[in-house]
Amino acid sequence: MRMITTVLLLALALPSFSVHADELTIYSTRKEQLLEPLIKAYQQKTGHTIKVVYDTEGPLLEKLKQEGAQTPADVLLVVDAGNLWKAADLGLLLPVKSKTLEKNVPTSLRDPQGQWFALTRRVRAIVYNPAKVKESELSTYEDLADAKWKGKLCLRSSTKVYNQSLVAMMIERLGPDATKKVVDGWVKNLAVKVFSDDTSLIKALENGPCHVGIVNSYYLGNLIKTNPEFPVKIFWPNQKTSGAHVNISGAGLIKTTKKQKLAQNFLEWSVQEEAQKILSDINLEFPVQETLVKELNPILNKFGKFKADTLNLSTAGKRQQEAVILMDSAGYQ
Amino acid sequence: MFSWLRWSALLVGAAVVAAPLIQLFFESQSIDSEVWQHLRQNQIPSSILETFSFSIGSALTALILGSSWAVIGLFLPRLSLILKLSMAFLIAIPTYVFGFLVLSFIDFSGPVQSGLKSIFGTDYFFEPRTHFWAILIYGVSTSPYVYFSVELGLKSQIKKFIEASLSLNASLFKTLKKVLLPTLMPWSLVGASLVVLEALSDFGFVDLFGLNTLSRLLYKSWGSLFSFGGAARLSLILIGICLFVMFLIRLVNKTHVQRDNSETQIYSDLFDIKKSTRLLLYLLVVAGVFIFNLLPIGVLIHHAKAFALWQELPWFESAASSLTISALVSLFVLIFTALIFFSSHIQNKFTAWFFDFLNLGYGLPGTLLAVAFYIFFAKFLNIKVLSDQTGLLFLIISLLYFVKFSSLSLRSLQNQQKQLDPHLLESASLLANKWNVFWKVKFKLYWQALGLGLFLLFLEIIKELPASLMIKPLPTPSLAVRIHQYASESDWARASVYSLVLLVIVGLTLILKKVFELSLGKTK
Repeated sequence: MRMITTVLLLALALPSFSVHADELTIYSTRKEQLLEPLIKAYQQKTGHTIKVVYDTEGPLLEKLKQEGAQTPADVLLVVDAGNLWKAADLGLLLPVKSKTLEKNVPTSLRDPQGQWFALTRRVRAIVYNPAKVKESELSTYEDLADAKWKGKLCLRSSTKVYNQSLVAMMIERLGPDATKKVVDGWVKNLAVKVFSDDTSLIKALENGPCHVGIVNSYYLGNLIKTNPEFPVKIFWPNQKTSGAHVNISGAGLIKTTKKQKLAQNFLEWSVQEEAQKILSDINLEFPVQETLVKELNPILNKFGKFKADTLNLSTAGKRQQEAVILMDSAGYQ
Repeated sequence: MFSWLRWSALLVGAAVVAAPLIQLFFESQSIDSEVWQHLRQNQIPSSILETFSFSIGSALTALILGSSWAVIGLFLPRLSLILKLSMAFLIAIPTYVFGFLVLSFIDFSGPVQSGLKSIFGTDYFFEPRTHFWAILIYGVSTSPYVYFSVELGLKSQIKKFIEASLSLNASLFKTLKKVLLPTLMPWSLVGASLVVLEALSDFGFVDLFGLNTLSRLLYKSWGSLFSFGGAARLSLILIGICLFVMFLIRLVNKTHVQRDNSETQIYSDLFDIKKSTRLLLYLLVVAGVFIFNLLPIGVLIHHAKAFALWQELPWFESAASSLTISALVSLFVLIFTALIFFSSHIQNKFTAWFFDFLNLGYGLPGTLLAVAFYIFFAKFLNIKVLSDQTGLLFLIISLLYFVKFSSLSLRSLQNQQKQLDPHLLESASLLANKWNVFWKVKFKLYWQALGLGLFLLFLEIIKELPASLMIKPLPTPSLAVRIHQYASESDWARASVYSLVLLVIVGLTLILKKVFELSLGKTK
């Protein structure tokens, strides 16, 4: 034991990265290239230093749990409402009262207790190949379970959170039995095995056996950015009913932060025009409110306006486990 | 070696491997019963079957390809460096990157299917994300494990048997079938067992092909069902499978232990093959180099061809970070493993099982091990591992890679041990003290295995992803982290830049290893 302690003390004695009073530490699951421009802009504007620790969802939450009160983290910034809900459920986040956050972030896109707030909207859209499908044939997510789509539908794997959230919200709205019927129908209609990512799915619409699919809109946006003639179109589903399913990237303050004001300032700045423009342009995600950005990216403008689902997104987290079990039982891999 | 040092090394080694396993056992006790019932009834049985079929299928593919590649080298000695480089470059590409590169070639919008569409019509397509393709591609990607292991075998002992066989007028084909391949089997199986263990813990590749293996289910339990307890319990099943695989390998290898010296052997003088056979072998090498190397490297260069990308990306800093971590940690793991190995030089059942125990970590996903270490440090040692503690993070990643990869260097040492005459060491110990025996005799006898072990450790550590994503002792992200960062967003241009840098480093490492071997050869 003495040997172990000595080795550990020696290891601890090695120099650590220094932490300053005006330095903010963010724990994030966003990809570095999608967050760095925002961080740089904030540092330039305020002169504050921001250190970001990147990781994937499960390990990051576990790390926060283990670090407890000693964690250097001030802000948790992740993709998907389910992860934010889980962080709040584990008691890792601090409730925040802020007029800016409440004004700029719609009620459905923030935690009712103020523990997390959306920074961007990621819309789950229907995409199709116009050479194979007419726009008039499309309507809702549920309709894609109809037998007329047999051998034509393509989906991303159920292990990814995007479709889990969509199904979770469906369970809340339609109930488990009706949702099971929809998911069963999707599985029966699959043209090929589910895809591991949205980009491959969209490319299979262009050249492969897929006619129609469900993806996050920015994946198509990014393909159009590199090839403006890319021949796949977007369709906003459920416009006459509940609205298109919207997930988010979002953030919350860590419960034990000693820099609450600094961290809250960062969050508030992130939902204002300058930051929203950066976030929206970099990955073609939608701003938390369209009115926040005067000049929306032309690709997003071309996608057109849409009606979004107004159910509070914490539902996606609450019902995620149920959604995964339902998808498994339907054989949705 | 002194007995206190021997026992200390064994105990510390056992404790380091046991720590995360014990932690996972404790975590597996706290699990939501509904989640576990769902996993047990609807997911685990099919996952186990899929895990077995994928890992054993891949191992068989790797066994055939890796052994064949090594045997071809016997007939074409002038190409031995090309064959070796080919395998080294292949092993340097992370399996999921290799999977994507091949998939982008044969996928619906890839050149293969586009070509077939122009022949058979626009409605023609085939599904490339099947078990068959997954096993084939993973087997190709991991065949270097078998190749390097077999190559070590070829360096040592088999020449005599071949000479005997040929002198008895056995045909070349018969000699290959009855002598060479069976004698090489222990080395082939060692390499194949590494492929099985690698496949058991793989996530990126199986996710790309949509295979429902246990490791994918483990991440689903953790990330989607919010059940770390479920993930821990699934990891215990993975450990069970690892034990089963090791048991099988031990059973098969029992009858194949042979000894000889470890001098490098030249086989080319033994074989007199026809010109047509030689031409066929050359064609096979060209085809292999095209599929193993030129195709993936070509795709990488195609993606990363824009010069602006190289100016924009901090690839040099990432390369420096990767080199620092990999060099320091692989050296640590090698020294620690060698210490344990030389401490327990007496071969008995206890040491054999102890070495198997050290191998368990290879079959576990890196992320899970990292979290297990975090929790173990916090709960048992009352030390919070914070993300800004460079020294502690270095220590943890070193211990973690010891648990995960020590089997690579251990197997090289064990193989070498099988080739040595035990009487040589006994005789030496009569003439000199323990330290002199160690430095002047043992070290020299094992240097090849140590070199191979260090090389394999370096390769594995520099491309390892899940653990390096969570534990970052240096502020600059490593090459593997950068590759993942861009590949997971399907930004293959930037991912390819970092992949190419990784390949160059591996190439340079291989050249350094060769120069080192040559200089040692001259000294001898």
